[in-house]
Amino acid sequence: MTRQETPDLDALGFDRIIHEPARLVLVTNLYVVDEADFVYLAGRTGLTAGNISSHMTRLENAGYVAISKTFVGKRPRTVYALTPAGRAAFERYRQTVGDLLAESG
Amino acid sequence: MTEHRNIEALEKAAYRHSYSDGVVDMFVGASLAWIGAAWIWLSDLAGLAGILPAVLVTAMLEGRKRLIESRVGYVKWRQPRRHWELRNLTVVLLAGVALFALGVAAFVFAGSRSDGTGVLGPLGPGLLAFLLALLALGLGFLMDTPRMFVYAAVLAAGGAIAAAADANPGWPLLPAGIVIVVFGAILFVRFLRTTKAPESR
Repeated sequence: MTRQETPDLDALGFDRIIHEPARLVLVTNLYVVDEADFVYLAGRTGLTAGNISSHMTRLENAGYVAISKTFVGKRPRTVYALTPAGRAAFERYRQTVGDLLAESG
Repeated sequence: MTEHRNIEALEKAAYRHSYSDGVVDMFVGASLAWIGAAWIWLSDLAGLAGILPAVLVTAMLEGRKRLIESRVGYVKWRQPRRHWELRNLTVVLLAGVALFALGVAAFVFAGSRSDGTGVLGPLGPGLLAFLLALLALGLGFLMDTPRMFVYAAVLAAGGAIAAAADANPGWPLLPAGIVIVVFGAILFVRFLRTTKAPESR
């Protein structure tokens, strides 16, 4: 498939930050909670530590996720939460996918 | 994750998963079995049997938090879920207190005479088990926990047998408690097998 034949995600209205499968799984799991730590997300998504960390950094840079690091006793805990912008972006993404599938169905 | 067809189902599954470790079941089952056994074999101290579980419940919850959270992780649910949880737990607690008061009042004021002439009549020996079955039934509906229906059925069956046999009221509690412990243990083993502690970050 040449570059020209690649569907233009931007034209379709897809948010490329959220559209990536691993990030979509992470954002979806964060959407249904207020906040969750790394252990919870690893268990729910099956993603590796490196994957979660790199994707969360990308989401944080986009302003979609807030990351806080704390200690519980002597154990470090990294807590992730969707920002209001992240929630709005995910809701737009759902709407876009819904509209697209409705039109093509 | 393919079974989660929408966001609501995903949230529900995640919430259920956070309480699928069986620790609370094992504790409640052991407490029931202990109270039942005390009622049968330590009848003089039966009234005090409930104190031990009440004292241990805080330690159990703290131990569960340490053991389970290290594997399941920390999660703060959305406000609607937290409200739902608080509301349902309050309803269950109030229902439990009301049922307990009802049971005590029935014994004190109506009595359960062995000749079956009391208001409770032949139901007396199974009354506590029936009330607990009602509570389990309510919990099953309110907390959306189907295994509670099994517990309710076991308690009700035990209560019916105790009533029919005019047995000690502790008898239905002992086997029901053991059944609940076994259920909890199965859940706990499954939980430990399927939920490995990921590396901490």
